[in-house]
Parts: sequence; structure tokens; C-alpha cells
Amino acid sequence: MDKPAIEKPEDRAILLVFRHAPYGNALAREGLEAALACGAMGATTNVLYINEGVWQLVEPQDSHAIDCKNQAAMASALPLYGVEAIWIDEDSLKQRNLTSTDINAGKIIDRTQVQALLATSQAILSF
Amino acid sequence: MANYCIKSDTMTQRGAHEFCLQNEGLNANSVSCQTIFYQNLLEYLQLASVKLLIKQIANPMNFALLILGPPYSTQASASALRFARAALNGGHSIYRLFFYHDGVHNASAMVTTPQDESSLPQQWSELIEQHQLDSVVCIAAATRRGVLNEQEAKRFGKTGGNLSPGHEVSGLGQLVDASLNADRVMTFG
Amino acid sequence: MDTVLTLDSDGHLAHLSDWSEQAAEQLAASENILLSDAHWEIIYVLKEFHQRFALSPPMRPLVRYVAQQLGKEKGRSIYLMQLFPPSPARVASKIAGLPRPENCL
Repeated sequence: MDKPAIEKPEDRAILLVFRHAPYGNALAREGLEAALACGAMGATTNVLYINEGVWQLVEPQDSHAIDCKNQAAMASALPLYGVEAIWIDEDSLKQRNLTSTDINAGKIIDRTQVQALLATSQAILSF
Repeated sequence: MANYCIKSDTMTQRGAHEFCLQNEGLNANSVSCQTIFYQNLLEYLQLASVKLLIKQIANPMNFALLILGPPYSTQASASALRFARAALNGGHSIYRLFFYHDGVHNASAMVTTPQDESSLPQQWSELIEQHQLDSVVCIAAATRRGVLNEQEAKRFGKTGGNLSPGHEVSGLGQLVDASLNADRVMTFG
Repeated sequence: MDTVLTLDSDGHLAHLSDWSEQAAEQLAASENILLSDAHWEIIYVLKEFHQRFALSPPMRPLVRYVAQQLGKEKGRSIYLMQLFPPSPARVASKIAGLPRPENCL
């Protein structure tokens, strides 16, 4: 791996947008793994759960029967990996008849705040 | 700083894209916008082609491309390839190609295409060779999907490597590095 | 008498279900580590991490989790480095019978 060493330009924030439900497609899991890598490497990292992505945080979820790892359990490790900025789109919750009591982490924000998050992030990775 | 995020996607993501278009005050004719999402090839073409879009950018950019879509199954990889060509032809540079998720199949040398159709893995290898691009395939995503270089194949006791020329297998750290150092990260998935 | 463990080419357990405390001692011996109580508590914290989050932690999260579970004195990379040199996350994971890291960092 003769890649350049990781440099961290000032105030460079990475935003990972999670738009898919936790199972049925590996995007949710691999998006989360990308976020964990960002955090583990010390990058300033935000994650945004929007649209079907909000299902990733719903608890309880039991993925045992489909032989998949529990996505909510994995997501709960985000703060340990240094990712503490976890944002959830309010409208997406409402559209799915979910409330703050259904999800296990994160801060619910409205569309204006989502817009600001998108506008201020220097790199957006979409999963 | 502005971000361009181009997506070719299924209808399930329509809401997200409409939302972004709406919230960023964008429409299909706007090329000076901060974030552009598009839903399908048609919309992409209505943007007066990515080539034109890139020409509108005054300063040369250093792009990183995150390719999540496989060859053939979806449009994502072909769009990424055309974007890369257009960017390079337009005088921009590419910091890194990062193949992740199903995108790792673009680095499989086993992909075999009918003679009257073009092979995306082959075209990627040619582009990388021609422009000496840095192309990284996520090792974890690739190993799970059966795309291995000789060394990894040996390590896991498999018969042989099948990584296309020009790519390197490495970790997600290279995506983090690209996100921190490229001017723009474009997701194609 | 040691049982014969099936290992992969990197010396990790080929089958994670083969893990036992005796297996851990053998895996540790292959890293020239004699397991003490200080090692065992880290091994069990690591197993708990994997059970709880379904992940094998790299260094930084491991240090934080050890700090949470065992206190700040032990949640330091130098402490873990002394116990599981030269690369605590990799070496301790191997001994604890966690999946081999996918080299994704």
C-alpha cells in the first residue's frame, strides 16, 4: 500500500448519506462500514439517515432469521469509532409513521437543517 | 464549497433526489448549482450532457469517483466512465477511482461481453492505463464478491486471481483519503 | 497436551467455533504471549464488543471501549500495546477468536 499518507485538511467534513433500508441490499451495511472507517481514521464525519435509510436505526430489529448482521447493533458502534454526528431526517420518519422512540440513536433534524448539512459538507458519499 | 453528487438510481430513491433538487433550488437546466442528483439517463441527457456540465466549471478540479454500481446491471458504472472521460478531456484531473459495493465487479477480469457490446471492465482498465489513474478496489467488498488479485487468491486458497489490470486492492482508508483530499467526490451507484 | 487447531494462512482460527480458553492460550503462544489475568479481561471485553456490535474493532474504538468497560487506566493504547504487541487490535482479536480483519483500513 504505497499510497500517500492521510492528511487532514482543516475543517474538511465528510457526510455519508444513508438512503436504503438495512436489509435486502448490502448498501446500508457497506455505507456504515465506510462511515466507521472515516471515524476510525479521525476524519470529521457526519452521517445522515434519510428516506428508507431511517429504517437502519429502528429498534428492536432482529436479523437472525435472515442470517444477516444486525444493522442497528453495528450502527450503535458509530460513537466508539468517533462518529458522533448522527442526523436523522424528520420528514422521512414522519412519512413512515416512526417517532424518536422507534430509533436507537441520533438527532432528528428538519429539512432546513438537512439542507444546511448538505451545503456545508465538503465531501458527500451517498449510499 | 460546492458538491456535485450524480446518481443514476431506481425510483425508490426518487424522493431523495426530488428533495435535493427542490432544496438546492435546482432544475435540470441549472448547471451552476451546488448539488446535482439525477435519476436516470434521460434526466442526465437533459442536463445537456455531463461534458457540457463540466465545461461550465471555471477552474480545473481534482475529482474522486466512488463507483458502487456493477457493470451491465445498472447504468451507474457506464455513467461514471463517461464522467471520468469527460472530466479528463475537459482538463480536469482524477484523484482516485474507488470501487466499492457491487462496483468491485468492474475490476473483474472474468467479465466477458458479447462482441457487439462494449466491456466496462476493459474500458476502465484502458482509461486507467491511458491516463495513469489511481484506481483502488475495496479489498473487503471485492473479496466477498470474488474479485481477488493473485496475492489474495493465494492467501485464501483460491485457484487464481481475477483482478483486471490497472487496479489495486486496498482498504476503505483510500476512500477516506480521497474524500479528504479531492476537490469533489462523485458517487455513482 | 494441546489439541490441534485448524488455522488459516495467517494463523487465525479457520473455524471461529473452535475457540476455547485453551485455544486462546495456544493462539497467544503463537504470538509469544503468556496470558495473564490482565490479558483475559481484555480478551473478554473484545469478545463482548464483537457480540454487541457484530464488528472486530480497529485500535481507536478498541481503546475507547476498553476505557468504557475497564476504566481510563486500561483504555490507553500504550497499555494494550504492552499486553498485545506489536498490533493490539489484530493480535488480541486473533487470540479472542474474532473474525480476521478484512484489511479495510
